[in-house]
Amino acid sequence: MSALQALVIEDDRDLSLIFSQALRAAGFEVETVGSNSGAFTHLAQATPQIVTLDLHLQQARGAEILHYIRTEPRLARTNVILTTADSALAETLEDQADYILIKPISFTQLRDLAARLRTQF
Amino acid sequence: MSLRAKSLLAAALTTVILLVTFLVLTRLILTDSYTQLEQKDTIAHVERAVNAMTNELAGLSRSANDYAAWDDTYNFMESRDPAYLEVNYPDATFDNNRLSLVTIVDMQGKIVFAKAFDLVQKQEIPVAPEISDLVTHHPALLRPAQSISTTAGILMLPTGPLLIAVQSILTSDGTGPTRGALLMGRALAADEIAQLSEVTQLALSARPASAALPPEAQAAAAVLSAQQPIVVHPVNEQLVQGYTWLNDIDGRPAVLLSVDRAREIYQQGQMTLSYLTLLLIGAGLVVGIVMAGLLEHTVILRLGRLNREVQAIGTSGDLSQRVSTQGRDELGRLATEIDRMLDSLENTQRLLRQREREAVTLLDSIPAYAFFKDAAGRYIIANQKFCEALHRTREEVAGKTDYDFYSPERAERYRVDDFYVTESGEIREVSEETIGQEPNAIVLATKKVPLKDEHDQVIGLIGLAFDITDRKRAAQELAVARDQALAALRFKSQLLANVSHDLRTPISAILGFSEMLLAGVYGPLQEQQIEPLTRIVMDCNQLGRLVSDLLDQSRLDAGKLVLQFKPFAPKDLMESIKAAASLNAQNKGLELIGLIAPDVPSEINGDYERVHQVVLNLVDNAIRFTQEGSVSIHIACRDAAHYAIQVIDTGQGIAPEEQALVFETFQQGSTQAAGRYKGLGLGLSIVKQLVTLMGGQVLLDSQVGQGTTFTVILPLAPETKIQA
Repeated sequence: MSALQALVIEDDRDLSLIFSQALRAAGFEVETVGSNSGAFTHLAQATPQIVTLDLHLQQARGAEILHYIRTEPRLARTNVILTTADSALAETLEDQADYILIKPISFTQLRDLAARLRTQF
Repeated sequence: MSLRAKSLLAAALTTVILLVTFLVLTRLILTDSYTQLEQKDTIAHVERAVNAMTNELAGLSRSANDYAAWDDTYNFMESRDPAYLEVNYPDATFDNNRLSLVTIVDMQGKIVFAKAFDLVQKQEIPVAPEISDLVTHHPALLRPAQSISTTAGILMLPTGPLLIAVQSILTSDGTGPTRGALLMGRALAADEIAQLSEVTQLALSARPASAALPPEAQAAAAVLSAQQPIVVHPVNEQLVQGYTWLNDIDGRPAVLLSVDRAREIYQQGQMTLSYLTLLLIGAGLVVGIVMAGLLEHTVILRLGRLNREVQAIGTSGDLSQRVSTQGRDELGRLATEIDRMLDSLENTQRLLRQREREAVTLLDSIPAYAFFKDAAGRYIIANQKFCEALHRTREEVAGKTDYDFYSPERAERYRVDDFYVTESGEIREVSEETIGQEPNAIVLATKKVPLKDEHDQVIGLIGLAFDITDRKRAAQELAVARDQALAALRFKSQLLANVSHDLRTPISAILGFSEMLLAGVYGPLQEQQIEPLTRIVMDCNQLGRLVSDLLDQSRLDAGKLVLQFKPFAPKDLMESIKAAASLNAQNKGLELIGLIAPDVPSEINGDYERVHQVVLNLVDNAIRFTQEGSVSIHIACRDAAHYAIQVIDTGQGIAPEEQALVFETFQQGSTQAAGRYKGLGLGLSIVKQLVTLMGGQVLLDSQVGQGTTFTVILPLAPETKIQA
C-alpha cells in the first residue's frame, strides 16, 4: 500500500505550512499548491485522499476546484475539507464538501480529523 | 278645457237635452191632442151639415105631407079638377116652398100632374123627360102610396141630385084608402147649398158622385166607408175639410158633402206650442244660469283657489305654506288632506335637508377632495376642499362637468374613469396621478365608487381624491434613505467579511503555530513555556469567535443569514460543545456537566451549526463569568413541540436591572465584569437574534450570587426554512 497523499490548497504560506504539518503528523504525504492553476495541474496527475481547500484562494474560486473534484470519477474517494474564514460561504457548498473547518483552524483539530480519516483508507 | 268650461258645457248640454226632449214630447202630445180636437170638431160640423140636410128633407116631407094628406088633393085624385092644380100649384107655391118639382102619381103609377120650377130663374121649366121614368126607375117611390107612408131621400137624376119626399095621398085626417102619391123635389144645386151654408154657418159644398172630383175630394172619397163615414182632411195650415157621403134613397153614395173649416184649433195649438217653447227655453236658461252660478260659487271658485294655492306652493317649494280652502264637503276634506300631505312633505323635506347637511358636513370633514357625480358626469355636490381647489363655490360646482374645470385631456381621462364606474358598477382606483409640474406638482390617489339606487342601478358615483404628495415625497425620501442605508449596510457587511477574513488568516496562523509548538512539532518545551502558549491558543480561539460574532451580526443586520434545517443528534451536539469548551473549563477549574433527558428524541430537526453556535456561546459565557463550581448543559423536552437547552452556571449572577440589557447589542452584562472581560458584547445579542430567527426564545433566570440559568427553547421540527 502506497503512502496516503494529501493536497493542501492554500495561498497563505503560514497556514499552508500549519496544515501540511498537521496532515503529516496524521501520517499523510503532503503536497501544497498556492494557486488555482497549480491545483488543477496537481490534481490532473495525482489522486490524493484528502484535499484541504481554501475557498478564498486568490486567483481562483475554490468552488470551481471543488466542482472539478466532485465531477472527476478518479477523485471519487477524495475527502474534501473546506477551510474558510466565511462560514456562510462554506455552508452554501456544504453538500459538496466532506468537512468544513472555519478559520481560525486549530492545528490539533485538523491533525485529529486527518488521523481519523486515515483509518478509513 | 278648464273645469269651468266643462261644467258650463255640462250644464248647458243637460239643459238643452232636457229642453229638446220636453219640447219634442210636448209637441208630439199637444199636436196630437189638437189634431184630434180639430178632427172631432170637423166631424161635428160635418154631422151638423148632414143634420141640416136631414132637416131639409124633413121640411120637404112636411110640405109633401101638407099637400098629400089633404082632402082637396084626395078629392082631386077622384075629380081631376084642374082648378085644384091651378089654385094649389102656382109658381108662388114652388118659390115659397123652394120646390123644384111636384109630381102626383095615381095608384097605377101614372103621372097625373108634374111641374118643374127653376128656383134661380123663378120660372116654370119643362119637366125633364127623366121624371116620367121616375116611377119606372124607382118603383120604391110607389110604396108610400100603397102603404100610407112617406119616403124622403136624394135621388140622382142626370140633371143633378134631387131632394125628394114622397107622400101617400090621404084624407085630411090621414085616412085612406090611398089614392096615389105626391112627390115634392128640391134640386140640390148651388143655391140650395148656399142656403144650407147660410143656415148652418158652414162653408159647404156638395158634389155629385158622378161629377169629376178634385184630387183631395177623390182621396177623401176613397177613404170613406161604412166604418169611417166621415173623413177629415187638412188641406193646409189654414184649411181643413170634412167629407161624407150623402146616400140616395137606394142607399148608394150620391153626393159628396164637404165642409171647409178654418184651422183655428190647430193654429191655437201651434201658438200654444210656440209660447210653451219660449217659456221652456226661458226656464231652461234660468235653470242653466242658476246651476252654473251655484256650481261656480260652491265648486269652481274654491277649486280654482285651491289649484292656485297648490300651484304656488309647488312653484315656490315653500312647504310651510298651507291651503286656505275651508268647508265640510269633499273640497274641504281635499284641502285638509293636502295640508296633511304638506305636513308630511315638510317633515320629509326637513329630514332630507338635515341628511344633506350631515352629508355635506361629512364630505367637508373628509381630508380629501370628495364629490358626488351623476351618471352623465355632472357634479351633484362637492366638499369644501374640492371647491377651494377649483376656486369655486359649491353652487358653482354643482351641475358642471370636468370639462368646465380642467384641460380637455384631463377631463377626458376623468370621464373615461367615470364611464368605467357607471357602466361596470365596479370601483375604480387610480393609485397615483401627478398634477402639474415640479416643484409644485401634487400627487393624487383617487377612488371612485358607484352610487346605486334601490334597484341596484348605477345613478352616479362618489369620488374621493387624496392628496398623497407629502406621503409620496416622504416615501421617496425614505426609499433614498433606505437605499443609502442598505448600501452602507452592504458596505459594512462586505467590510466586515473582508476584515473577518483578513483577521482569521493571521489568527489561524498564530493559533496553528502555537498549537504546533505545544504539540512539540518544533521540539520539546520547557514547563514555564506551556502556560503562555496555552493562553495564546485560548485567546486566539476567543478572537476567532469574536470575529465570527461580528460577521454574524453584520449578516443579521443585512438580513443575509440563512438557516439550513436538517436532522441532527442531540448527543452529537452535546459532545461537540463539551469538546469545544472543555479546555476553557479545565483552565478555570470548573466542572462541565452534560445531561440529556431520556424523553429527548435521538434526532431533532434544526440548523445544527446555529444551535451549536448559540449553546457554545452561552457555555463560553457561563465559563467566563463563573469563578468556581460548575457549568451544566441540560437538554430536555419542554412540550410536545419544543425542546429546551439550559446552560446553568454557579457564577456571580446578573442583577435584575441588568437582566433586561444583556441581550442588547454592545452591552456587557456587568460593568464589573467588563473590567475582567474584554469584548464587544455581541454574544448574547446574537444568541437572542439567532434563537428568534429559528422560531424559539431565550429565557434568563438569575440572582446575584446564586448563578445564572439561560434557557433556549426551540421547536423540535421547525416548519420551514426561515430567512431573516
